[in-house]
Order: sequence, then structure tokens, then C-alpha cells
Amino acid sequence: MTTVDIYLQLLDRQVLDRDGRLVCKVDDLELQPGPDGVPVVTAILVGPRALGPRLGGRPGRWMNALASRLAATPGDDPPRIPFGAVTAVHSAVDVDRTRDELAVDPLEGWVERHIIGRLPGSGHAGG
Amino acid sequence: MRWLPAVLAIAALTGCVGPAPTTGEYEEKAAHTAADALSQLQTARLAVGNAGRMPASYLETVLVDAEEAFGSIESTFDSIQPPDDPRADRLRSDLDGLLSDGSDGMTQLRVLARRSDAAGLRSTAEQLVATADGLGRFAREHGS
Amino acid sequence: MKRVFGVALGILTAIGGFVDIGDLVANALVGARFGLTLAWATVLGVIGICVFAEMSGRVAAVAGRPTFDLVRERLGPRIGLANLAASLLVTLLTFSAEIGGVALALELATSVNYLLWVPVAGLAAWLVMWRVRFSVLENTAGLLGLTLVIFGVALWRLNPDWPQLLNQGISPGNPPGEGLPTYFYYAIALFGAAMTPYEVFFFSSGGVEERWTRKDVVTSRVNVFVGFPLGGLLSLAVAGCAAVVLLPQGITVDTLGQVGLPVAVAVGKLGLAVAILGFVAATFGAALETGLSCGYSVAQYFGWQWGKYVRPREAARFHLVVLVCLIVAVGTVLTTIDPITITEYSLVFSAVALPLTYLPILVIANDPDYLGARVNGRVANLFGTLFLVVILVASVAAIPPMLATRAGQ
Repeated sequence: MTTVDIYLQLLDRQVLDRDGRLVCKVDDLELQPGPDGVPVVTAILVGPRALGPRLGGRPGRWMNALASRLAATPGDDPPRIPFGAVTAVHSAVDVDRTRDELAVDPLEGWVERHIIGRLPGSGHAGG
Repeated sequence: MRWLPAVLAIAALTGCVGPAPTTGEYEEKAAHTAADALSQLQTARLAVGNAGRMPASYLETVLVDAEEAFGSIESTFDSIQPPDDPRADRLRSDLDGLLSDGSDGMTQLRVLARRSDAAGLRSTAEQLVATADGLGRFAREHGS
Repeated sequence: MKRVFGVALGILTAIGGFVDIGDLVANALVGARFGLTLAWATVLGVIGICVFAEMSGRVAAVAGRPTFDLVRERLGPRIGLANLAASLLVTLLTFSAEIGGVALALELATSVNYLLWVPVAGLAAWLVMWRVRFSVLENTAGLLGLTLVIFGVALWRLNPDWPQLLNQGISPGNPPGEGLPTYFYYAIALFGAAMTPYEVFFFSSGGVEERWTRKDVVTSRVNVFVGFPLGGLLSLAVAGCAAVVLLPQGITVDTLGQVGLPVAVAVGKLGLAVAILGFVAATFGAALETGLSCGYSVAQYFGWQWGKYVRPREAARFHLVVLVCLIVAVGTVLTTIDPITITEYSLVFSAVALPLTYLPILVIANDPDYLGARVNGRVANLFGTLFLVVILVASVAAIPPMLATRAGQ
């Protein structure tokens, strides 16, 4: 187990998947008491339902309202990445799964299927 | 006070022109108008003077823009209510004369440019020298 | 050899990419009204953008993190979101101005009303952002933008009284007939023209797009320290041409056509054609940069996949943001608000919004956690801090003169 400064080194950092693709930000963290009573980070929480409460105020309420509209079932917990999947914390956070396996971001898939994927040339190679 | 920035922004964007209450302020506005109008007139003259050195499309665009801007400067000035003072009336009629001469000349330039009438352009631009001098003198004499 | 070519290409694109609609308008406008008495503001802005871009280029190359990642990490989600809103608004305003600039330049070439060109320019910009490879996009726009060197040629052919021009440049002060608030209003506009926030979003994200590594720090530095000052010289040439040809005639600049007139006078038809090409390239290139920057900043704040190095469908929301911003920008210009007016406001708001992106970069550039041994040295920190002060002053001072002078009237 390693010790990092949650605020300075973990929260709001970019999460990268096994292929180096950008997955999400560390929007919030799930903490649970460890064996000796000291809280341990158990998961990265992702998406507007994780970020909304951290924003607070009006933008936070807006984001929560938006999130509950988009959620499959209202009151769902935010998508999570178990902290065991994290392999390194540097200027970004590496996890050993692919973006598709993590599936923390349903909206990206929706936009891809319904809007961007339908435009001609959306599948041509980048560069 | 949430609306205040919005109001300020709108006021700044529209640059609203109100009635000019004193003769001094009216004079200042008139001088400003003369300088702005002169800028457009000189743009047109400079473009016509170098008509052979630019594509026809460029000359035409510059002349159309200058003519439009000149027209809007003229109508903005005309919309100001002059104070009840013979001096203000004199300012108004002096400047109005120059503006309408300039405006006629600029329209003429645009028409001739569209017809590619080089000789006509030159002679019309020549005639506008007096108007330009007049506007310049007006701006200097009445400007602060 | 390949490396030399790469460095040369980088410098050339930095020069050609430096000038955009804001630089063209602000420099011509100021040159025609104040001569070169405001050259110091452009010089200050160029040094500022060098300091700023060097730091963000280094962070992008070493830590692999672009600007807006850092904004959120250092300012937190709440202030970061406010920052995103402000930056996006300014970038969007600049985007509109650039699209309008492309349309105005095409009007000069064809005498077809610019409003008819706006949708064309918008569609072309979208197609390029959607399909064309990043390096091709960046290099082509930058190289074509180099045609603006014609303003340097024009100034030289005008054969002005050089000592007098130089003397103006080194003796700041408002000329008779111009008030001090107006003078400072335009000083801030020039500063904002040289130091636009989008340039840094684009520069740092571009470094990630091109997969810069530690080895590229030197390349990035050369691009910045050689390319940007030379680009700044182009700006000064535009101002110089206006000062020599337009100022004595009493012409104040309010159209793009007036900006090009000195080139017609000095070089003639062919020169003017080159200048128009330069206008189109510079504004179109900047439209691409601002459009992508809108997508970069939003995607980087939320952690979405962004960039042109992946297939568009793999960065779906990034491309959606770019598309929506494009529609808004095109719509803004189609309201018939004069694009030159949009440009002037975008410059002042750029100056206002600058500290929001500058401060996080300065902090990260000092953080060994990100940069290891490549943290700011003493010189970088001296200039970094100096410019933090300048930027803060410009930001605070931007609005009062704008209101006092009714935007410089």
C-alpha cells in the first residue's frame, strides 16, 4: 500500500486505460475504513454524479439534476473503477483495463452511436 | 445587481447616442463626425488613386464598405437633435453640406467602379478633394 | 537532416500561425491612429506569449498534460469550471471573429458579400477539423500564413523615414488629439492580440497530439523563441504599413480592406493578391486553432478522450463540442454583427481571461512532481512572475478604459 496526497496527487487527475486512451477524470474517491481503522481509497468515482457534489452551489445542483436525468435508474451510485485496477499514479492515473471494459461513461457511447458515428468519415484513422 | 454587467455590456456594444444637450457637446460630436467621415472618404480616394494596383473585386469591396460606413456616419449625425442655438444650426448646416457632397461622390465612385470606368473614377475622386479638405478643416477647427 | 527540417518547419509554422484576425485588425488600427507609439505593447505581448508558451510546451512534452488538465488539477473542479466557462466564451468569440475574417478576406477576393461566405468558411473549417491530419493542418495553415511577409516587403518598398519610425517605436506616449484612456485601451487590445489564451490551449494540446517527449523540449523552445518573435515582426510590419500610408491620410481602420491598402500602394496587384491569400490563410488557420481549442478545453476539463490522433468516433464528445461551437460561431457572424467589432471585443476579453490559464501553468512549471528536473529555472521564474504581474494588471485594467472610451471611439 502506498501513500499519496489525495488532493494534490489523485483528485482531478486524468485516468488512462491500458492502451493509453483517455478514460475520465478522478471525479471523486470512495474511501472505506481499512483494517487498522485508517480510511483507504477503494475506488475512483466517475461522472457527473461524482463531480456534482464536489462542485457544490448552483453548478453542482445543475450537474446533479443532469446526471439523474441521464442515469439508467435514478439514485444510482456513480460509475466506479476499483482502485485495485490502478497500476501507477504519476501526472496521470494508469489502470490496467481498456476503456470498453471499464464502461464508466455511457454518454460517450451514446454520442458516438447516435451523432458522431453517423457522420461520414468518423471511422477513418486519426493522425 | 446581476443585470448590471449585462446593461453595461449592451450600453458599450451599442455605443448609444443620445441627444446633445449643449452647444459645446454638439460641436464635439460634429467634429468627431467630420473626422470619421473624412476617414471613409480618404479610404475611397486612396483606393481609387491606386485602382490600377488592385483587383477590381478589392476596389469594389473597399468602396462599398466606405460608402456604407459614410452613410451610417451621416445618418447618425442627422439623428442628433441640435441645441436651440444659432451657432449649432450653423455647425449643422456646414457639416451637412460637406456630408451630402461626400455621400453623393462616394455613391458615384461605387457606380463607376462597377462599370470599370477608370477615367470617370479619376475625375470624381478629383472633385472630392475639396470635400475632403473641408471635412479636415471642420474637424480641426471644432475638435478639442 | 530530418531533425533540421522539422525544426525549420516548426519555426515557419510558428511565424505564419502567429498572426490572426486579431493581430491584423489591432495592429493596422493602432498603426493608423497612433503610429508606432504603441509598438511596446506588441513587444510586451510577444515576450509574454514566449514565456507562457515555453512553459506550457515544456509541461506538455515532459508530463504529457495539456493546459486544461492542469487548470482543473490545480484550481479544483469548482473554480476550474468557472475558468472553463470564461475561457470557452473568449475562445468562442475569437472563433467567430476568425470565421468572419475568412469571409471578409474572401469578399475582398471576389466582391461577393461576406455573409454568403460565412457558411462556406464554416463548412470548410469543419471538414478540415474532422478529416485532415493534425500535422498537415498545422503546417499548411502556418506556411500559407507566411505570405503575410508581404507586409514587410511593402513597408520596405514604401521606404519610410526609418529613424523617425524607429523613434516613434521607442518613445511611447499618446499622440496629440488622442486621450490617455484610448491609448491604454489599445495598448491592452494589442497585448491581448499577441497573447490570446487559445494559442496556449492549442500549442500545448498540439504537443500532445504530436506525441512530444522530453526530447522535444528543445524543438518546442526553438519554435517559440524564434517563431513567435518573427511572427511579432509581421504584426509590427502591418502596423508600420498603416502608420506610413493610412495615418497621414487621416484614415482610421475599420475594415479588412483598409488593412491591405498599403500593400496595394507599395507593391501593386500581385502583392495584394499575396496579402489576401495571407489573410485567408491566417484567419482560416486561426479558425481551426480556436475551433479545436474549444473542444480541447471542454474535453480536458471533463477527462474525455480528445484529439485528432484517434479516430473521430473514439473522441465522440470532443468532436461534438467542436461541431456545436462551430455552429454557434457561424450563427454569431450571421447575425450581421461586424466581424471587426467582434474581433475588438475578443481582444479585450482575451486580456481579461488570461490570468485564469496563466497562473496554473506557472504553478505546474515549478512542480517537480510533474516536471522532475525540468522545472522552471531562475530566468523562467523571473520572467514568469514578472508577466504574472503584467497579465494581472492588464486583466484588471482592461474593462474601465473600454467603458470610458466606448471601446476606443
